[in-house]
Amino acid sequence: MKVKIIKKRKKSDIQDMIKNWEKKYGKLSSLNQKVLISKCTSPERMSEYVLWKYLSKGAEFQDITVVEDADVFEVLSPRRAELLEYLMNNEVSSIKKLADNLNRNYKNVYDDLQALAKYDLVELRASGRSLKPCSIVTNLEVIFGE
Amino acid sequence: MTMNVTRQKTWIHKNELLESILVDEAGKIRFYSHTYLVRTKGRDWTPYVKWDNWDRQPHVDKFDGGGVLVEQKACNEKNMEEVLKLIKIFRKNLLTMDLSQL
Repeated sequence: MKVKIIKKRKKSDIQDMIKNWEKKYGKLSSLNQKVLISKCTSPERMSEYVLWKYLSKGAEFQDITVVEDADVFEVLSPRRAELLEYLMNNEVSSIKKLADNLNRNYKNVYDDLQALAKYDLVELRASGRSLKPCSIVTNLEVIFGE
Repeated sequence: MTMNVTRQKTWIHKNELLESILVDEAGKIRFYSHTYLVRTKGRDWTPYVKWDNWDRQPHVDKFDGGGVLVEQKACNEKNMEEVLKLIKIFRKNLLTMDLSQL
């Protein structure tokens, strides 16, 4: 049994990813040099180089998370699923705003977001002094018999 | 020509995952990398083993458990299913094995 999570990256998400790599490495060619010199000993750099290279050429991007660990069911409680669905359909500026909108306690919402973020189900993006919770999950399938 | 990039993270255990990057052009895989990562207490994710075809040379890299490369050997091309099967069977014991023979 496994849980397959498909995330939809908007064009703006991809542009943000590219901006972050530019901030981190400068140019794509600089990162290429680093990967070549280190003979691809850093998997992180190599993955970022490949993603950067093809995404900047306009390649289609599929971002998938598969969880084969049964612990994921501890993370996906009905309350958290409700939270995920809310984030999918609504944009909120902060965790506090989300807690207010859902009429829930801030601490409980914060804990739920942290648990969901562990499996990449939500992203907590820095926005000024606060964290902006976002969900890019479009499909969540439970697959039996594989 | 259609280009697709797929990033797939497969959680095998809460502290073990396989991160795969696949690039295909017109249905043909141009690049793959499959990295088995482990998170130990108080540390970030550390690479243990990586299979990839950088520069069109299929090979496998073995790290020392602290993220330092200790071995790089040529091996047959591996797809995600094959790698996942190996990881599920051998898990952290992969570090003690001759990976080019698998």
